[in-house]
Amino acid sequence: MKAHEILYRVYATPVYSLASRMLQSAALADEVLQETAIEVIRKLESLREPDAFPGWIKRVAVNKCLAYLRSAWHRKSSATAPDAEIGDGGWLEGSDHGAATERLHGAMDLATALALLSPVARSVVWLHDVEGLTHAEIGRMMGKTTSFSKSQLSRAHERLRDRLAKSDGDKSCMPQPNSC
Amino acid sequence: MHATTEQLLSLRDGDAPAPAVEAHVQSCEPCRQELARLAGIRDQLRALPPISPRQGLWQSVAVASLSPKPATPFPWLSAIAIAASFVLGLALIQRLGPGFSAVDQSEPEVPIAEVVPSVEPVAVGDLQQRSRQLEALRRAMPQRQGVIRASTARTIADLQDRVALVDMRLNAAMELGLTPTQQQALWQERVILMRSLLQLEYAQIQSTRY
Repeated sequence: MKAHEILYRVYATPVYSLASRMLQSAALADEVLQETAIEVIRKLESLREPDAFPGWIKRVAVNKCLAYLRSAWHRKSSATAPDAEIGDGGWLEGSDHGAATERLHGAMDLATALALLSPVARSVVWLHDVEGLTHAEIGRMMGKTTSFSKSQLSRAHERLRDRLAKSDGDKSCMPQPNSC
Repeated sequence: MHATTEQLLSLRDGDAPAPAVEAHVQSCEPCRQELARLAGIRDQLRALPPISPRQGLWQSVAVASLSPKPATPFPWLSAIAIAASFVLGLALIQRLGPGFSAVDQSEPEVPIAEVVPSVEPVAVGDLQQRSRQLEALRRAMPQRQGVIRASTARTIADLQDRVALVDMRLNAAMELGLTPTQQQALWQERVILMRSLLQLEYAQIQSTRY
């Protein structure tokens, strides 16, 4: 068990950061880290290539995060947030909590703007831009296409741009290439 | 026509879009600025500080990992346990009466003063009898298999700690100089804590089965 604990100390923070950013909930991030760690303990012996460990553990953690995002409980709690827009399409439509919070707080940093994206858009941004997953990998993990991941990332970045520009108070000075 | 965000993101990530788009971006100042901005956002996201888990989570991982995995998705023993837990649950509800309501696992325990019904005082002997019944029911409950949620494990541990604290005070009632009224309040608190504990563990068994 000591070796597992040493290993846990190495991956706990990256996994917890990933889960916290994707789920925006300390309690759920706790669950993801706990479940990931247990899976590591139970299946580590079946891992043949040590070099594959970081990628494997990331996949395990991402899949658990996505499972939480798909869950009815999570969709329900998201639907109670301001500006919820969950439709018949289920978890993939998600909800974007930005507008009401912007009205409340005004200025916004990148971490906050990211947190206010819909869960799926936020996940795509984090998985692609930070974790380095390809659109094909993200699409596969979400049960969607590569194009889905690309369009989610594009729309998410447009929302981030708008929110950050608004918080800077100089939105009119920002380049708007798509409007020309 | 300027490049779309999706095209600029493809350029940023090294997935070259159509040559015409690439050529346009090279010669268009707003598009170049937007491309640089998108790259900057990615860099800022990667530079966000890591978030560390709370201390002590490893202990719950270590304990939970010792629980054996179920051999089959739906073993017959589990089916029997489901039936047994149903019967046990019904008996429990009947014994505890109408005041037995669901515990919200996501919230901390409600202060005892708010839970204790403000009815006529119950004799210490009755409270001790109820406490023993609850202990017996808890012992008779089937053992939970599988992984328990961290938040639930915390709540159960908290309840157990509080029961242990009450027991410690009751055992040292003489030394502490507790009055009969104070001892009665402690017994009442013990019954309430045991009810909450039992209900939470019962709910865990139910959630495991389904």
